Amino acid sequence: MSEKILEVEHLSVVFGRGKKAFKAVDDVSFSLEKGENFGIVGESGSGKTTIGRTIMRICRAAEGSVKFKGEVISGKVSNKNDKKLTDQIQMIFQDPMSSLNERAKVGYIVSEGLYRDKTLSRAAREDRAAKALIEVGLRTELASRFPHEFSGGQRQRIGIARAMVMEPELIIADEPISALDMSIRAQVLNVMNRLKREHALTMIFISHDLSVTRFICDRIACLHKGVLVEMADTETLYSNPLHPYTQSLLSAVPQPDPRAEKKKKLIAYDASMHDYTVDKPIWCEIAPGHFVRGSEKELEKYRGTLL
Amino acid sequence: METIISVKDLDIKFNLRGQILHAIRGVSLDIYKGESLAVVGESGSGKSVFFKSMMGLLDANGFISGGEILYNGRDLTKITKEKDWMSIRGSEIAIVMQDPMTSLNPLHTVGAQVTEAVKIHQGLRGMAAKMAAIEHLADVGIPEPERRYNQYPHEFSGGMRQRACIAIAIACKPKVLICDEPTTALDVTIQAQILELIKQMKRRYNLTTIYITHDLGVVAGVADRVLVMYAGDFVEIASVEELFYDPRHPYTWALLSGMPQLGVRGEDLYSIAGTPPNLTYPIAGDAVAPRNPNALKIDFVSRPPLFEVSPTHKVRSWTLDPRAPEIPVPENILRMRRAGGRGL
Ligand SMILES: Nc1ncnc2c1ncn2[C@@H]1O[C@H](COP(=O)(O)OP(=O)(O)OP(=O)(O)O)[C@@H](O)[C@H]1O
Ligand SMILES: Nc1ncnc2c1ncn2[C@@H]1O[C@H](COP(=O)(O)OP(=O)(O)OP(=O)(O)O)[C@@H](O)[C@H]1O
Ligand SMILES: [Mg+2]
Ligand SMILES: [Mg+2]
Repeated sequence: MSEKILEVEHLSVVFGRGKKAFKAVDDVSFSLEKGENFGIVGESGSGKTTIGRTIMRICRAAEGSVKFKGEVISGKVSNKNDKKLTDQIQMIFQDPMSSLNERAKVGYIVSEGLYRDKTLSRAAREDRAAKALIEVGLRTELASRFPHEFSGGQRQRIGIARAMVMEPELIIADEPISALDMSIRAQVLNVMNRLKREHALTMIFISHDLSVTRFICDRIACLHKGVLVEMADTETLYSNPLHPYTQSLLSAVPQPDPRAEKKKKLIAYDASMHDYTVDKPIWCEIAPGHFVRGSEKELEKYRGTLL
Repeated sequence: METIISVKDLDIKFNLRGQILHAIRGVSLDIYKGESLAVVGESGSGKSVFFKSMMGLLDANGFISGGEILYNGRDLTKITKEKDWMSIRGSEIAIVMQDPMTSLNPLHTVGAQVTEAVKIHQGLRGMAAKMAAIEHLADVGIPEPERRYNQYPHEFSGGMRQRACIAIAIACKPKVLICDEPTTALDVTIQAQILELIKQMKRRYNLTTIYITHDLGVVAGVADRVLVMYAGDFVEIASVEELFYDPRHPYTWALLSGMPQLGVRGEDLYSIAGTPPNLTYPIAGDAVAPRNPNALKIDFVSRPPLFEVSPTHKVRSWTLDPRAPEIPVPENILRMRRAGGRGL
């Protein structure tokens, strides 16, 4: 049996209250195994970041639960657990420019989280920060520089080093490469791949770039307006998307092949195509590991295309 | 084909605390009426600077130190007065900037800003101007355009702000539209929608469009021609098919090889070692040489000329010289060649 690191069960997140209440995440369930890279894709505003922030315990779960290594972490946790979770789950933020403290030297930025551990000596802290910098391909003498002296890709790698130094079990990477240029994207993706290979790091990779998630993720969940519509291992999802929203997202991915692009047909998605008045949709495992949302009638149709 | 912009031996420099940064290094290019030109290159290669210079939008410490930019025969480098730029900006050449927040005025509603452009450039007044503005907002996919019309830029999400900027540029009815990374903050479906919209504009008005982008997938979809920039120079210019199915410059190979679409999950992507040169020092020879594992001796000494592969395909690299030794073509690139049906 492989080990479940994270279990998200029937999670809903609500912003505002009363009349203004808005459900940003609606009954979302998925789980992650150790060493897995799990992608969350979906259009802007679909709730990807909110899911990440709820696992980080920045947002509150209105319903459902988040379990980390078997223990419920949404809701109240003991002080001791709180500290442990803060160390074990790390987030890499989208914007490498604004997420680093401009006035602190890189060495401090990377080791900041280690100050919480009062038993660590200064030498031990510096040693771990140096190791994390090397891990992401930055020379340790750069520790005495300030963030603005680095390129975008280097800054993003500082953000990764800052997360890695805590030796976390789970990393949530929110659009970690969107702000980077193409040559630097490749560098950062390689760093992430290596951390996964060498440390069996578990990662949630949030992105709207489906060519990147195809390259880096083992499994992908597709989110539409706070609701999961499909989830499968990467190859299955790309070669056999069932839900019309997944199909629409995939049809729009630009291909680096001019002739294919000329022939490309966009599939538009219109949520009103579903008639859910009587036949309510369910979240169904339609094939082993392949989940899709649909009404009985739709699921019947999807099953037909699977044969 | 009719030339609309002709750039000759253009040099652009910046004053940088007493040092001179040489951002554009003697480049020439003809842009054709109605074509769609994509521009790619690493961060800092000069993509934005090159095209901003055509609109008199260089930062105050920047200046054109040589060459000319002919727009319909008129040399834009000779324009000195801000007032004279007004006849060019918007109505002739419009730009959608990389950072939408800096080009929208935070003190005015988005609707007022689109309407302003409609009034100046389409000559409409009152209600008619407002209706046209709302239609432009709808065109770029802004939901509930009537309501959004009255909102301020900070009430828009990043992607919506970018679309508002495109709406303003389109409202100016320009002859040339420059899009500086128009879709980086957008998700794929909205990106596809915007690119389709710009393509329609191009067909309908014979608009000349220039796309600056980091996404080679976008390039394949929108471009007739592609320009690859490196360190303020043009290293390869080709038709879109030549660029993807028969690229010649080692730097272009490196850019293409790093695309995640060509990667194999679990394996490393190709990534170019090293960093671009410091443009405050003179560059000897081929600027790419220090990062090219197959660089020749001459690459470090002498700037290569533009070699002509075909009438539409030019490459600035000594590897194209008949005397140069054969260098290995990366496997990825060979695969793309086969995809293009050229074989070997
Ligand atoms: N703190 C908040 N208060 C109120 N609404 C919020 C808050 N944070 C997010 N939302 C709303 O919740 C929805 C989901 O937002 P979220 O940031 O999770 O989207 P996302 O999928 O990450 O989008 P993007 O791709 O644009 O980053 C959006 O409609 C957003 O406006
Ligand atoms: N105001 C300025 N002062 C000094 N140097 C500048 C100024 N503006 C641009 N530069 C320099 O000119 C060069 C080209 O910059 P430019 O903005 O054109 O790059 P780019 O190719 O558009 O990059 P990106 O992909 O990051 O937008 C860079 O080295 C940059 O640092
Ligand atoms: Mg987000
Ligand atoms: Mg730029």
